[in-house]
Amino acid sequence: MLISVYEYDAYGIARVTRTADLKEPYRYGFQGMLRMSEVAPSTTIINDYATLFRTYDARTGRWTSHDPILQPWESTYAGLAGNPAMLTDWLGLTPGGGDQRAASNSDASKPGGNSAPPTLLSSTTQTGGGHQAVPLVPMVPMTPIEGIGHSYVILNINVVADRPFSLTYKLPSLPNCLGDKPERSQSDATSVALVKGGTDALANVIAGTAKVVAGGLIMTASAATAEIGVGVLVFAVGADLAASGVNQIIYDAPQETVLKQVARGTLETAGVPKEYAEPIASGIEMGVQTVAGGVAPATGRSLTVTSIETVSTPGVVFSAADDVATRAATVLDDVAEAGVVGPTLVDEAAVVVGPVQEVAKATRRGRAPEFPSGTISEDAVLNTTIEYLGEGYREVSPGRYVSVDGLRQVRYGRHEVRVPGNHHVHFEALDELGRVVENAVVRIE
Amino acid sequence: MNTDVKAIVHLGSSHPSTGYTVHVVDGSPIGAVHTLQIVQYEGDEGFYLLYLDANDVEITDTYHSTLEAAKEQARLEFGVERNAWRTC
Repeated sequence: MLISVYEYDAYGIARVTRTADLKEPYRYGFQGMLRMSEVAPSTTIINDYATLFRTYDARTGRWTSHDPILQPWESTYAGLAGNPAMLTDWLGLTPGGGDQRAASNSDASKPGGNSAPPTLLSSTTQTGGGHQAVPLVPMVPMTPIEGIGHSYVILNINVVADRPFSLTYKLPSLPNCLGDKPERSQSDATSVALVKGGTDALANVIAGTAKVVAGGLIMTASAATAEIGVGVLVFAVGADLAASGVNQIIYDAPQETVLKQVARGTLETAGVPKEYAEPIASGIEMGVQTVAGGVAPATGRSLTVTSIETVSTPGVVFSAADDVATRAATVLDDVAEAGVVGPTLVDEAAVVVGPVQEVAKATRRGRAPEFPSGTISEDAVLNTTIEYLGEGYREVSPGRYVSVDGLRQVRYGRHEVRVPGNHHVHFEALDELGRVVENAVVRIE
Repeated sequence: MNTDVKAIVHLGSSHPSTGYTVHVVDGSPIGAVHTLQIVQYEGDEGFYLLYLDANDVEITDTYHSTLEAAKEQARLEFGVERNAWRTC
């Protein structure tokens, strides 16, 4: 059940316009710290947090008392080691690179759960306190796609919203793909953008960001429905920048402006048509958070989707598909229980982790009929075609049949029967511009 | 049926599949595509975008009414830009 919605900046300042308690205030906030509601009991905007060992002030990004464990390389008041994108410190003890709760459970002898995995930049430096050094870059090898090194984790959820809503979810941080990148780069660590347009927009973004480090959340708004894609797109180039947190982007302009500019540039570079390329909001900042929001042009319905506050949980993204699936289910439940969903959830969540074929399979749009056996009898071809195309379909050229709405096509012509013993039929789904988005080839027995 | 090859492009590391289109053949997603070929068959006005494996065996195809439409399909699926095609 969705109870509260909070959005924070990197160090935990609650954003006024995107924070609300839908039912009742929730006790915990940024990074799981206890919200000190007695400081400002009448508001949901809390920037003071209590942890087991000390209190944290999100406005300054610093603790209000000394670190119980001396970190000789930094101020004892420093918050999150200057790396809120990758580190959490819900105990107020020492920043950790992983899920501290899980780590604590597995090794109770290490307060703060700093049983972080080995790192490439800083491995196991021991301090006087006997705990491991803060991991700067978690060693999370990306799953290569056909040897290229691009990986996707996409979680698409389509909803029809009948009123504005927002959701906040935590997703694992972006993994990294290490390389000798310059320490500071704004051009590499760029964003996925929110674009105006129909369902094509998402695909355009995906198609157009092959050389872009991208992460977070994509939303597209179409005339009648809003389609939300929650997930992470990770690409090899510069992913270390987005993930490591050691390469801070220096902005000369307000963050939002910069993100929009970056998003716009990304889209232009990707060749996305200009009418679809105006970002409404955008992007990713160092894997910290992603904000998307917009208004469906025809209905005027607004749809605001969240921040993703990344949590450093190395390895989760690419090793635990079940975890992503669970998150998907949670999203769906929350959307439904928040009462913001219209008549239908258009599609179930498609979740995929790993190689591109799995991505493609999981993100299929579900219109072309499936034939797990891969075969169909000759007698069944006609009936299946009629059923698939619906009434009013027409033969637009020899052997090519298209539905009235132009979104479904069956091909069974000379080309498909030219090879003896390999007669087959194509059941295809097309986008609004006639481009093929699904192509199911079924052999005729 | 005579075949007229209009254009060809070999897909390399710079052309990863975007996942834009899902191809399922005989019940399974197709494997790696190494070459794309746009062909036209005698007596057929359309253009077929052929997806070939490492042995240049056709895996599947899509149909397009124009040569440009076939190239656009390839761009969406693999990021193949117009100038990457070798015209035959």
